Amino acid sequence: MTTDLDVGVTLGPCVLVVDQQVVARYADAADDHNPIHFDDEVARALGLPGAIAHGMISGALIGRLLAAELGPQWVRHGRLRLKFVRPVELGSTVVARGWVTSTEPLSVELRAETADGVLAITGSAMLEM
Amino acid sequence: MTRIRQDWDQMRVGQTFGPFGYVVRPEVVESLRSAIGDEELVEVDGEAVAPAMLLTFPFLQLIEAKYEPPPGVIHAGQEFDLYAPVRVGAVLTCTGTITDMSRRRNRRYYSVASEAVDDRGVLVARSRTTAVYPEVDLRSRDY
Repeated sequence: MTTDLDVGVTLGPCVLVVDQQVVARYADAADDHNPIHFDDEVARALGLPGAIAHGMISGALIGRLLAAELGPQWVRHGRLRLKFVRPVELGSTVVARGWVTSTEPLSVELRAETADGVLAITGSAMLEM
Repeated sequence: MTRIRQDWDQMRVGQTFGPFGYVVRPEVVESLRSAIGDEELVEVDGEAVAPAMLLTFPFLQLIEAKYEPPPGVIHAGQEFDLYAPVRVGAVLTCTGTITDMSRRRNRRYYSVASEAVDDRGVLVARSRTTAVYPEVDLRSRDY
């Protein structure tokens, strides 16, 4: 682990500008070409404000944060719960942070929000040893 | 395998998916790392590994191998229980089951519980994916 993880310690932030290039690269990796991520007209027809990023782009940013802070124990004992609250519009800057809420077991509250203050994801992580 | 058009009315709790084989290809790992700017945990115990969140890919493809989804399925929740690193080059065998279908605040939700076992027989992860099924089916429209 890279930080002394006492209660109240903040993890991150991890920051990512979610532009079209990021969405295209993620879509190719995931083989997920849902038109709501590329086509404003389709997205609007479904009640969205326009094309939105894949929710798990922000989720993967949280994964990056946890890997950085928790190290190899994360991939062996990690428990992650994410709720996608609001979609992230293309061009947004997403900031992922965590707060240690318990040390035994190690538990972290998580948030990913845009630089404009739109809450995209809430969640929690735990190391279950 | 011929895919079935995914329709809410034909989905059932208890319906199963897989086994679905997924190779953790280096170029996919690199593409994910590049998209997210993720240079963490590149190796564990001397072996190249993928970001754990790559597991979303086979768990969604597991469903889409059977069903052709309508445009606009939206990810509402994601849970992971991680047990082992996702080795680059590993072949994951994934299975899943629909565990919940419900309507809340005029939206249709479904959840799929999945697991992935690697080619060494190691349980890599369990997952629960919750998605919102679109109220409007755009498949009959031209865009």
